Amino acid sequence: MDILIQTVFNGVVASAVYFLIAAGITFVFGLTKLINFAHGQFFVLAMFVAYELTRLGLNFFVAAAAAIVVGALLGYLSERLLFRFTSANPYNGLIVGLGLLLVLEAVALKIWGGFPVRVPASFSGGFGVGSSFFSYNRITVLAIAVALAAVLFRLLKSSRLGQQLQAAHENPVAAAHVGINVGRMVTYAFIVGSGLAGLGGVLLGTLQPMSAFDGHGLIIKGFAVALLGGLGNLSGAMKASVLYGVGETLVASYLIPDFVPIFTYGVIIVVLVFRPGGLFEKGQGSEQTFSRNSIGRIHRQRDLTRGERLTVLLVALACAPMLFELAPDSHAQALLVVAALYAVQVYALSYVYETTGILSIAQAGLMLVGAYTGGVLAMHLGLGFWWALLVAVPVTALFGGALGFIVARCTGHYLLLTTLAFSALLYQVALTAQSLTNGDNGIILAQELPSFGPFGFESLREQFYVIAVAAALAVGGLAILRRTRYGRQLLAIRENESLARSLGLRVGFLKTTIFALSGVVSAVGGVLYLYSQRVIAPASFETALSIEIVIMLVLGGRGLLGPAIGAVVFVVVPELLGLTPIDQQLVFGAGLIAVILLSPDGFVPTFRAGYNRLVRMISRRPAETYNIVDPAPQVAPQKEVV
Amino acid sequence: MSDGTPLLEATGLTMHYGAVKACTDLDVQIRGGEILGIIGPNGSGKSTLLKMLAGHLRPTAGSIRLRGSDVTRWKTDRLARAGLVMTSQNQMVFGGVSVREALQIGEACRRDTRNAGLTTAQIVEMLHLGEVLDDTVEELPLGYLRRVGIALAIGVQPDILLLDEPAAGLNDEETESLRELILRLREAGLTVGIVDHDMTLMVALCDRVIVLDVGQILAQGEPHDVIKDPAVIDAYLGSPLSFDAEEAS
Repeated sequence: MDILIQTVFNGVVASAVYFLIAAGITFVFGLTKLINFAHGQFFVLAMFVAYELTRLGLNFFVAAAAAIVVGALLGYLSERLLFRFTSANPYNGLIVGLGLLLVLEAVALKIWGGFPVRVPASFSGGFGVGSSFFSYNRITVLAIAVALAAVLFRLLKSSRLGQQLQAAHENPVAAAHVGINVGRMVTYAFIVGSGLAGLGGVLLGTLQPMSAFDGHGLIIKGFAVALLGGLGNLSGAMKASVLYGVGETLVASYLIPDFVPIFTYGVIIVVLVFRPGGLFEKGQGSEQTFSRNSIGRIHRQRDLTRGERLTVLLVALACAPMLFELAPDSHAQALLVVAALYAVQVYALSYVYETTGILSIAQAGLMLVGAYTGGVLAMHLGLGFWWALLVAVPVTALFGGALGFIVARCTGHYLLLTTLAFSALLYQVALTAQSLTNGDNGIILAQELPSFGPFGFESLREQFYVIAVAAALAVGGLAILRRTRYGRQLLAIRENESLARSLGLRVGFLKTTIFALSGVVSAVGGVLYLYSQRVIAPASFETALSIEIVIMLVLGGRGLLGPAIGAVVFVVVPELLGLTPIDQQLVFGAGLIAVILLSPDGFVPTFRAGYNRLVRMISRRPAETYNIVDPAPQVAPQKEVV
Repeated sequence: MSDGTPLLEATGLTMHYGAVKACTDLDVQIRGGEILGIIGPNGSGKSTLLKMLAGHLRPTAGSIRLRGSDVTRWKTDRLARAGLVMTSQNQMVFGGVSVREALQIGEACRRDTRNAGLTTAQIVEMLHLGEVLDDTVEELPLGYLRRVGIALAIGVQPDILLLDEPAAGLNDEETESLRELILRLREAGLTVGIVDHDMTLMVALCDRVIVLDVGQILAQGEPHDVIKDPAVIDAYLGSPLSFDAEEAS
């Protein structure tokens, strides 16, 4: 009983901190539909600032106030300098946030190293009841969070600014029409949300040691809580944070601590499947999968002529081998093999993205299923490459189908989170199911390597060409898919899901099948990964890889060549600079932000637009115009309603 | 043209949102081959009725039968596969592609590929979309947008087409070509249910109209009879409708 009381108390205190993160996320998201991945890192930086100030001998509360200011300032700057420019496309905001996360994490690593630090408690000591112990610090943390929540609710309800914020959240267009400066409201939301993160950082720092690496985990937990509560719903976030904080602590103390992540991601998936709008929202969430929004406004471009298409094809076919043959050393060759392996996965993702417009952050999970199916067959049954392929393909397709089935029930950012949770769940299962997967130690391939005539997996060269052929087949499949009846039905979902439904399409079924198809491609890639790298461990397929696959896709941009170019740039360019890992991360993060801000559609579409301009300049053709203007006014004034 | 057997039959159809009674106990029949108009003042439940028939809304009570089988709980997509398609103002088109691609996508949604019916080329010709085939759908003027929406709906070759305010925002010329289009669709074998405020269009087009007021049927019958009904004039038209006068719309 005492343990229970202690656990619940600790859980409630933890939930106070989760609420502070989730409230910040909800604030920003409510207005901008943006998941700011750097939000967790604001938390960490504010904690470090408070830590330094207390080391200088300042009072805890002064340090906490400074941390709030630091958080708010980071929020203000990131909105003014970065996120202001990504508002048209939430996925670009997502990637810029990731870039910022990498940059800030690298900065923190450079200044404070990777070691965990602890902010001294606000008050030392505490009191015991039975065998439970209630520290004054935890009570203070709880009191601050509760007081703050009360003030927030009060301000949102009755202050002028709070009401304007709510109006902008409900309907930005209408709010602008009645004279609310929505842009400024967004800035305020960033300031308030990030200030809350600053405070949360200090408070969490007094409860447990924190390091520069903690930003990722925090943002995912905070985002989970914000989603469960219903995004943009502050009171929902509060209830969800209590449920989540207590649930997590209970699992940790009564079951096995290793199960906590499985609990987290399992809960997210189950809840969102049954309550797609969040735990406390009655409605279904929005009708659209957010697919059209997600791609943003599509700038249609002139279709390439047959000759141009042929040229691109030939150049691409020539470039891949040239790239490899020109690589200076085996290190560069090994990098290209990895790039090719990733490219296959990015193509697997683009089977879903190019057709339905759904961006899923779960590809590493499907890749894991493919690779591990092969690995388990090899380790336990001694079966080789062809068996691996034969079994991994249907198994991964099944997992993909399951993911698609779940995805079909979710919309918008809920969908993103479910896929992320799916990927993380598979990673945790591979880590935990030791008897099957050998856990953390991974599987080392002892099988004889297969060969197909002159090709096989013996040298890096052979590996590269085998994988490149697989990637080329994936591209070919994608190109054909887009022209089939099935592919066009998927396009209908991308362009207008509710219309697709009205025209009689089984939308859920279609989504399930395309995810299964993506699983097939992922499985082939996963088996190739296993047989070229010869060792797999859960760490190779972490959620970070799922996110990286999305980054590669966005970098390359839409189109058949985008994924390959994105993968090569992602893998090779940071290595070319020859920096230390931390500097590399810093440069890569900054580069990511720059690329998204300068070339929001990705490399391939930007290149195509430039090429089209060049062609027009050379041939002096006028820019394409729409020749449908008739002399009468195009839109008659709305008729008087009788 | 009408053979008298109801193709779609709703009995006791009711939609209550809490205390708000959008539709109460409506009995509506649509016979094969006819053009049925639904009219009434704002808030009389016309659109709600149409949405219930098309499976967009699930009625609080009542039943809907399509060709005699109960379809009350069917969702939109299943109804569409059974031949009942509705186009509404706000979800009409595939926006980010060219008209040609949009029609290709629509064609891919067709349930029965063998059934000859109207070909895409015929639909393009019928709706005068030839000159905009290569333009991006969402950049088209409203009149074209409506036509693309209707083209998509008839592209899947439904038996019943429900149109929610197709003439709203169209000018007279466009409304006239809409009227001709709907008549041609009927000739091609379609049954049409239509909600609109444009009385001139409705009277000229419909074989039969149903007048709704506060969620109940006020009158139904031949359009020329219905518009002379004093109750209808009182609740909806305001003044007797005279046929050469254009101000009625």
